[in-house]
Amino acid sequence: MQEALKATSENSQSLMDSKNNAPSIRIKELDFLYGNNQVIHDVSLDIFPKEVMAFIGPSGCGKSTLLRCLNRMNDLVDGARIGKGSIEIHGVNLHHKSVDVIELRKKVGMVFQKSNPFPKSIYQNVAYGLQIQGIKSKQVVDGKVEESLRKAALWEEVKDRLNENAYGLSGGQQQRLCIARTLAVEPEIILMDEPCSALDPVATGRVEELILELKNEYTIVVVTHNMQQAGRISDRTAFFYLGKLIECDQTKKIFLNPNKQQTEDYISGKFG
Amino acid sequence: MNSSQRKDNWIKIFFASNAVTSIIILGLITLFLFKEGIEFFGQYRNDLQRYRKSGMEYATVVTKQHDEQTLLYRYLENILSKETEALEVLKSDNAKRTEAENNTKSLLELTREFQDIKELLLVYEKQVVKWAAETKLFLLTQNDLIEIKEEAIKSGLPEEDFSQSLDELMQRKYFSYKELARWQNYFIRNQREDLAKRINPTVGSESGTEKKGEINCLTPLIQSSAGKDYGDIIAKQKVEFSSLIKSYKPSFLIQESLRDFQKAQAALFEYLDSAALYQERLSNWDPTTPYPLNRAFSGFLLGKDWVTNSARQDWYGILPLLSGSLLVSMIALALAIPFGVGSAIYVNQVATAREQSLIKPCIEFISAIPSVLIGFFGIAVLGGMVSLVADERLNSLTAGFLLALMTVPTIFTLAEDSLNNVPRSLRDASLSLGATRWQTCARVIFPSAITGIISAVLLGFGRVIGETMVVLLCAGNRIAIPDFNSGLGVFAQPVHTMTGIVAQEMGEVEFGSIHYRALFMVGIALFLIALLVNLLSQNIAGRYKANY
Repeated sequence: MQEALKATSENSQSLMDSKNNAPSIRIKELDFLYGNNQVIHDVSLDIFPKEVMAFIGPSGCGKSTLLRCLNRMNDLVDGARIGKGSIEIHGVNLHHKSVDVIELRKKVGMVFQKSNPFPKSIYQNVAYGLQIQGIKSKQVVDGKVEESLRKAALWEEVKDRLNENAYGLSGGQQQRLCIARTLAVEPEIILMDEPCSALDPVATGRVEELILELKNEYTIVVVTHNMQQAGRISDRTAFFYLGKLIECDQTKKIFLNPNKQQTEDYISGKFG
Repeated sequence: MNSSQRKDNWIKIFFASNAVTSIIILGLITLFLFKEGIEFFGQYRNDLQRYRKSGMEYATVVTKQHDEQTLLYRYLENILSKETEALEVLKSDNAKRTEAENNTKSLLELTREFQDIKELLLVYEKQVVKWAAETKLFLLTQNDLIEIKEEAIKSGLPEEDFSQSLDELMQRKYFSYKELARWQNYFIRNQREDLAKRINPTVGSESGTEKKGEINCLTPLIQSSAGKDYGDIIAKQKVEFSSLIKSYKPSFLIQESLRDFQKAQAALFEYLDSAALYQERLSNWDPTTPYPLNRAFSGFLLGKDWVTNSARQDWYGILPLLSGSLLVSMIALALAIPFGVGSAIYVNQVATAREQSLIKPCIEFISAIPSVLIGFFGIAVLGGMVSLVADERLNSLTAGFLLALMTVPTIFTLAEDSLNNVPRSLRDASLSLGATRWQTCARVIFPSAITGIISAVLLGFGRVIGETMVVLLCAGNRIAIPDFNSGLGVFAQPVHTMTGIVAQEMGEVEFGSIHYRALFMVGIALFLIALLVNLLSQNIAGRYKANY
């Protein structure tokens, strides 16, 4: 464990040097519990601007919980709490009293495992985030909707039927719509919780392309079950097991030459 | 077929028969309702036909005309009472007093004479009503006799005393009480008490006990009087009314009176102009014109009166009951929707688990309170509170309040279910976009659940319109269409409802009578409303499921 931490911090150090900037997200010695059930044990991890960080690991390893901590979606779960440690975004502790969780979620957007468009029109789905902020100008909203749909590579497919119900779209289109909806609020960080697990290979390919595209502007954290996917899209990969961070390194390194035996076993399919 | 298959089959049959039995029972109830109710229209038509044939229709027109004259008389009486009041204030030594006294005296004379002229028509009206009542009795007796004659022929009774043929009975213009008594004895002798009971020779005789005299068909008398007596009276009235009013020199103590008098004068001339219409209507009156069946339908569906056990004519119009039921239901829903839906939103969106476990059983318990207890509460407590703002303790507002209380659980439970059915992922998506809890609730969760909430409200409406005990106890039970022109006052008027009237009157009506059938028709109307509401809410709920 100790070694893992050391490895991580060494690694972060080198990455920080290479990118020459401070981390977007800094997780420090985090313990997280649901009631008395501790699901995250002493995790420390830095995530840097405009990189794609993949969280991998077997089911129940705490990777989704950690992801949901990053925009405090766990607040909604009864009994969810931090045991020790902290999460900082640009040096601000997320769980400090003064943090406005609404503002935080605007900055840290989230895409869910199963596409979950609202039962509204395509346009309304994307405009939703703007409208709740009180933006009334149709011109501004229209422009933002188009921009977001273009960024999500969906514009060409839906531009003629913006007023149709979002449930009429295919699964992959719905997921990209959800991404567009998130982009419209202009987040800085996008959290994706197994965004392709319900999609067929073609649709998955399109979402992956999109993630690589978005990397230029956003910091992205992806939770995935799919090892190949992590290999294709992420710059760095963090491997979790039983709530502990086992290893975090450059994706290539993790896949080709991991430091830990457990990581190698998992990646080569010996368990998981 | 092996034994396990056979067992399988038996189990299948058992469950299928359960389902089929309930459907059959529903069908039987429907069939029974319609069977008992549908004859109403035929009977009502016959009854209205008798109303016309007996001359009661004619008498009603005369009554209406006389009522109009009474209204005119009230104008004059009004002026007189105001003048008399003003006169009493004047001092006795006042010079004007004598003059004013004379004026008032002549005004008093005017009203007296007016009343005398009016009396001419009143005497005629009373005569006609008497004739019509006897004719109506004759027609009913004739109808009964024809029916029991048919029955006698069918069961092969000997002719002896009751020898009249059906044709003879139809041709009759009178029945003497003597022969009725004889026929009654004849049936008693032949061990047909059931038929004997239907002949009642005492009914209608002057003293009520003596068995003498005759029941006559007096329609020709009425008809001929329309041309002669009535025409004479109206002509005489016209002359006397106009000469009376023209000969009067108006001179009043208070200014207002002059204006009132001019108004009364104008009204009188207007009446005299319209009197010809009455005359025309009465002279065109023909007791033999058939009463069309559709008039019986429209009389029920659009009738504004529900009058039973009336000396002249019973009216079975559903409108007063329907409007009462709807008014009470609307009040109840207007209160129950915000409370029911509001608490559903609170419990579903805001409440902690502890609060939920407290609030839900409490609200659901309300529906377990027997409705008669809620009625007690309404009479004892709520009625007193309502009477602070309204004239009456028991009115549509009282009943509406209580029904709202009873509907809140229905609406709450169903609305809460439909809010619960909105997928969590939608809430998460909204929150992750930076929406507050209220924005999420108002813009995502509520709209997604709206179809379920609408169907909850519809089912609540079905519950309200079918509720009986509370409205019977607390709605005030006045059979009249609420006066919707009175603004907010409409809520303070006592009403009667469809369910209430059935519960109240069904126990007392004669089996098979028009009244009995009319109550069944009210039941059918209620049934159809409930069916419609149910179908509608199922339809909406179905659409809602297809959403996700």
